[in-house]
Formats: sequence, structure tokens, C-alpha cells
Amino acid sequence: MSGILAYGTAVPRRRIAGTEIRAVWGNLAESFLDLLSIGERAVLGPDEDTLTLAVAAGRACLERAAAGMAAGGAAKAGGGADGAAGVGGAAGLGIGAVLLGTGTSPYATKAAAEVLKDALDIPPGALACDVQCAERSGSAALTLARGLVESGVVQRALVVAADTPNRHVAPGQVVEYVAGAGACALLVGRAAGLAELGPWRTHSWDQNDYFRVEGERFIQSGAGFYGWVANWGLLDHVVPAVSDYFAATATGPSDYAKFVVPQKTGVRALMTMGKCGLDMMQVLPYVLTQMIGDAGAAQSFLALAHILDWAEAGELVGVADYGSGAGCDVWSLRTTEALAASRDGAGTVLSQIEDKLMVDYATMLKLEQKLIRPAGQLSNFY
Amino acid sequence: MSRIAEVVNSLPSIFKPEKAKGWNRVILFDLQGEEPSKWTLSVENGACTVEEGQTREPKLTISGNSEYICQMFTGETPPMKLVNAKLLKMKGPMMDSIAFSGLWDIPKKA
Repeated sequence: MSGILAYGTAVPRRRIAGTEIRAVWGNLAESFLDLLSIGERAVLGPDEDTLTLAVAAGRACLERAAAGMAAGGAAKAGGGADGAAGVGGAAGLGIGAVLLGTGTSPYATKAAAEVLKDALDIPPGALACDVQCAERSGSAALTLARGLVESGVVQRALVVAADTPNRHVAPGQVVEYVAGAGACALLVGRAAGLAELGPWRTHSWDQNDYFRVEGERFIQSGAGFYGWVANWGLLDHVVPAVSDYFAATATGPSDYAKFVVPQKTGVRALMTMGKCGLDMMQVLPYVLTQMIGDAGAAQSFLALAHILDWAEAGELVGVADYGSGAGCDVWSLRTTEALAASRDGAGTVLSQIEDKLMVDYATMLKLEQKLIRPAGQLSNFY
Repeated sequence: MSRIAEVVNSLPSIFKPEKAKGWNRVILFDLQGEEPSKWTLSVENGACTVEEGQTREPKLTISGNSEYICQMFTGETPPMKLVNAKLLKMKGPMMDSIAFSGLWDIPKKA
């Protein structure tokens, strides 16, 4: 058995409206903004990147876990339901592995998870590892973490899905309308905790969708951003993955109270929902793209966190997490009584989304470091 | 009370709060026709409130004649029929337009 003991999220405070981008480029018909459900998307703040977002989400998660320990909740210490010892702080949470799922690590070779581990004061004896699997990186990291926890190799594992697609789209590229950023951390342990993790299935083969090659900063669209070809890779993987999951678990769409689906644009969510036989109200209230854009590997996790902010005990929640050229993982959770008890009303996904600062296009370019300057420039004032 | 006021003010009674958890939105009815008027509908933390006039910045705007809004929420005409015929127009993310339609326990036409 394994479950989620605590979770935490981070969403950049700055946003840009799709209409602001369109005013500069005029590269998308105005009606497409509504059709694709393009609203606002996250903009990085000064010095904000995948790692800082991951640290912020990780801290929020560990603070909640510590609060849970103090209250004797899901992540309680000293022989808790999952057997982890507790002595206080991150060290007392018994975390034996830190897995960072991202497609936009600030480093090409250095382990960003190691920086994350140090920033969170997790002891050196814990495994730290980056997992790169496109937008499915978070699910891949969670699957590996579950393996470590359920096999007894570690007591608890911290999984952080974090991504900054916005820094990796070229100005004028249509995906610029939705490329956002965000992070979500899950503490996984050997107890049901807030939500017990259910079975997992995957479906993947090599098929081009969005990709970024070695040495390139900007993501390229494989199939396209809109039109039915934009959903080739998505539906080719998500539909068989979800069908297989339903068959393997002897469940059907109506068994799920809520379901997380891919949501780079609103069309992707609608296509997936329809093709998988899901009802609109199982899916649409938990699609975040029109408010923060696409947070890449963090998007499905953020949508899941949004669900956990609202779910009742005993609800079955499904997750279909698709990565461009990386296939689709499907997994589920069953929420517990501890979920409602863990809520303190602060730090919800919606509260982070609603706390925003709108910026214009030029500010976005500056903050996402798309204005090229001489590498040796020392000052902003000369 | 005018018919549109009666219908719009009755929306909280046919609202399905369990469907709206996590879906916080402000919707503006910008109406012409028999009873030109504006109404602001707020869906927040699983609750629905109505105010006359435009009191908040909307995420979704529904425009058309007031009589079509009455027909839609009293079950006289299916919402999709009104939207497809362009008698009612929805301006805002398509996902929100679709989700909005799932929030109501609209009486079935006999």
C-alpha cells in the first residue's frame, strides 16, 4: 500500500493575458482564444525557474506534513501508520528519496533534485534523482517513488513535478499563448494518508509531439497547436491507456468522482473527456489552463491538487497524464477521511491562482529572459 | 417583478452546488430583447449568488434576448438549441461555457 501523506503547490504570481500576446503578434484568429479556452498564463518572476518553483511546492508540502505530524494526522511521526520515525523538521519526516519530474531542468547534466533536496533540508542519505519524461515526468517520478516505498527500500519519498514551458517557447510561436509554469509536490508513504494510491497502467510508443532537442532552448511543435492533427499523439495514447485502465481495474467512467485529463489547451481536455466517456462535470471544474496556461509536467499534478482541495472522503479520482512523445500514464486515488481534516484553508491551488499580478508583453519577455543581452553585461543601468 | 428578474433570481434554487466545487467564476448576462438588463452571477466556493447590473468583471458573458434566457432556464427550449441558432452567444473560454451548462437542474419539458 502507498498513499499521499501531504501535498503542496506553487504557481507563479505573474500572468499575461492571451489578448495581450495576440495584440503583439496577431498570429491566431480572435475566435480561437475562446475555442481553445486561452485566458491567462503564468509568467515567471525575477529569478523564478523550475527549481525555485519546485522548492516552493516542496516546502509547502513538508510544512503541511509537519503540521499533520503535530496534529497526529496522515503523516504522523514516531511509528505512524507507514512506520516512519519522526524527530522534527524535514529530517524527521523519514524521506528516503527525492524525485524531481521535469522537462525543463535548469541543468543539462547536474541533478536539480540534489539542489532541491538540500534546499529542503532533507538529509544527504536520501536518494535524489531527476526524472525527465516530457509532461509525463511527474507521473513517471511518482511511479518510481511508489516502487521504492511499496518495496520497502525507503519509508517515504518526496515527488515534485515542476516545469517552466513558458521559458522554453520562442516569442511569436503559437504555443506561447498557453505555455505557463508551476510545481506540485507529493509526499508518498506506506499508508493511505490523505488519498490511497490505486493501480497504475501506461501506454506508450515513440510518436512525435512537442519536443526540444539537445542544445536548443525552445520547444518545437511536432503535430501542431490547433486543428485535429494537434491531438494525434494525445488521443493515440490517452484513449488506449484509459480504456486499458478501466478494463484492468474493472471500473468505468461513472465510478470516478473526478478525473484529471491532459490540458495544454481546453480542446485537449474536451477531446479526452469525450473520447474516454467521461462526464463534463467530472473533468471541467479541474481544468486550469484558462487561468494559468500549461504548466507542463506540473499541470496534471496541479489539477489533482485542486481536486484534493475540494474532494470528499471516499471519492475515486482518476488521473490520465500524457507527455509529448512519452505516452500516457493512468492511475487513481481513493480519498480518505484524513483529507478534510488536513485542510487549513490556506495555500489552496485556487488561492494561488487568484493571487495574481498581470504583466504586459514586454515585461514578460524581460522576466522570461527572452531579451538577449551581451553575456558580459554587468549592470542594468548602463 | 419582471419575468427575467424572476427567472434569474431563481437560479440559486436550481443550482447544483456539488457540481461547482472548485469552479469559481463570474458570469454576466448582458440581455436585450423584451427586458434589456444586465445580471451578474457569481459561482464561488460551491455557492451561487445573483446581483442586478454588472457588479464584477466577468470571465464568461452570455448575451442575447431576455426571453431566450427565460426559455433556457425554465426548460422551454434546450440550451444547445438556443446557442446553435445563435440566439444566445457565449463569450469566454469554451470549457467554461460547457461547464456552466452542467451546473443547473433545469426542469424537463413535458
